[in-house]
Amino acid sequence: MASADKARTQAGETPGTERQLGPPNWNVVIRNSGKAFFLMAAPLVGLLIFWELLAHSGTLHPVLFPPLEKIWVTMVDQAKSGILWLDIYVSLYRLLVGAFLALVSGTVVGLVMGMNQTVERILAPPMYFFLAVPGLALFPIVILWFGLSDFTLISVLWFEGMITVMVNAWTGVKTVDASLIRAGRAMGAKGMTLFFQVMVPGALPNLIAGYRIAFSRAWRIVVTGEMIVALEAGLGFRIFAARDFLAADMMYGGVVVVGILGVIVERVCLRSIELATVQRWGTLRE
Amino acid sequence: MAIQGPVKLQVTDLDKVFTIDEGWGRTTDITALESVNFEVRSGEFISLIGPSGCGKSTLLMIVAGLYEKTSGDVVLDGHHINDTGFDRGVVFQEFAVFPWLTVAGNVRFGMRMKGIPKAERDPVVDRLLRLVELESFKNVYPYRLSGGMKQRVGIARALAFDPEVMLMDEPFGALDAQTRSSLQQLLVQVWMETHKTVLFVTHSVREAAYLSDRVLLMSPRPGRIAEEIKIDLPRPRDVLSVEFLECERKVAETLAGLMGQSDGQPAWVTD
Ligand SMILES: Nc1ncnc2c1ncn2[C@@H]1O[C@H](COP(=O)(O)OP(=O)(O)OP(=O)(O)O)[C@@H](O)[C@H]1O
Ligand SMILES: [Mg+2]
Repeated sequence: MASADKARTQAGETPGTERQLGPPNWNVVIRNSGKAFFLMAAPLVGLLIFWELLAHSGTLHPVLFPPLEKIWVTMVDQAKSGILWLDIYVSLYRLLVGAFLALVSGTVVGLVMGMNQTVERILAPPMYFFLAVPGLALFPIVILWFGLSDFTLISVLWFEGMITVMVNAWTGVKTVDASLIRAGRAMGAKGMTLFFQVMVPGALPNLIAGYRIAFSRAWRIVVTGEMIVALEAGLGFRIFAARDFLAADMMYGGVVVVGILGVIVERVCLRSIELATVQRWGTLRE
Repeated sequence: MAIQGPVKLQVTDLDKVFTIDEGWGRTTDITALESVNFEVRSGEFISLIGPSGCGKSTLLMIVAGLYEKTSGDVVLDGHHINDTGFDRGVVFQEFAVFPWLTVAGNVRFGMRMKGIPKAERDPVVDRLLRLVELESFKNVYPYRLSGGMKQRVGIARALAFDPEVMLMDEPFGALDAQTRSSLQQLLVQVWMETHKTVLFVTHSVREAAYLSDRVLLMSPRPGRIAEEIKIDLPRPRDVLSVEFLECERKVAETLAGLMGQSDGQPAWVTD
């Protein structure tokens, strides 16, 4: 405790960024991250223990509910043979290409909608319509057009992600505080300058929330889409294919990998955008 | 002591009607301002005071060029005002500081818009931040500032591109009494240093009497300039002096009269 107090800078005297921060206080860093890790891991570990007890109790079918060690061994085999890495690579590739296209196009279209009333009137009705249609329902149609291919998967992914980002970008522009817009105008910002200097940064919290949702939806579409479009690799494909061999261990392993990857992508890609913008401005608390 | 400079701002027969869409094809017209007439001389500090909803903000926003007028004329230095311009700096009741820019970034904003070169901007930022006593918060994002500090950014920001006229809409209305007092003093100091013309909206009789050369009193909606009171006291003013209290009393009584109190009763406008 004493060391933590000593390292605390007296912010009251010299506020602002000019103040000198000392070196990192490793005791506090380690204690805090240890605490955070424990809080995050404890419920998961509890779940695993529960599973293990259930699997060994003999009341459940061992093929349907394999114990953890069996799932682990299967996944290690998959990793050694390289299949796991290929699946991860292929799925992530699809996610990143589709999501990237979705973010770019959704942001542009959504912002333009927020800026221009004519574009808004034209695009809002179809946007609401497609918002109500699950991306998955589009697969059969898109398969008719493009066949069973990566292109089909990425198209659906792109479309679904774009609609999500669009709605949020548009709402973001529409909900920028009127007094901030007035302030911008009063200081001489007009037209495009007003848009890029006030509307876009003002819309950013909403925009980033949209990216979040779009990413998680895109990941779902990748995994489920891989089951439908039946290509030769991918995490979803592997989980679905395991059904033919009654390989429940492979399915569970696959689901775990999907979950972990989803969390990592979310944390790495989106948290870093947030840290650089809305969190720095204090418009977002965590 | 009274300021006798040339006329800076002239408002003539200004009307403002808001048309509100009530839905189902119905609309309501609200006359916020009706035949507003007044003039402000160069370097003068003018307060607008009046009951809530009488159209003070509307009037200020029209002068700022942020609202459209329905009819009438606003002339600033011989130019008819229909749009915003660098000749007017606006300070808002809600502060309206940009959260995505640092304190310095906020102060620089107007200068960037005006096209002032970078090399000339930085000394101005430093000078203004010193003036509003925020030098050490230069690179801080606004969420770390208190309300009073935010409004000081608001004032520095409005002064940055060197406007002729400052338009201030209840700038201290959302602040506590102590912060309010210290910012009032700061404003007097800034005004004496910069010689800006100021149009200042307030609810507070004391604030109006403390700051202004003239107080314009508005009637309840539809707003008109009903009375005008000169405050001919040297600055900085002593709010406990007999002369000041007499002025404050005069403003309070006149305002109470406008709000429907008959003569002969004690004034009840308390602040
Ligand atoms: N954007 C608007 N749309 C419709 N009516 C409005 C709008 N802004 C103001 N009004 C109306 O105009 C009248 C004057 O409003 P205004 O905000 O100018 O009053 P105010 O004197 O500034 O009041 P306060 O002291 O409470 O701030 C009010 O009756 C209000 O309802
Ligand atoms: Mg007002």
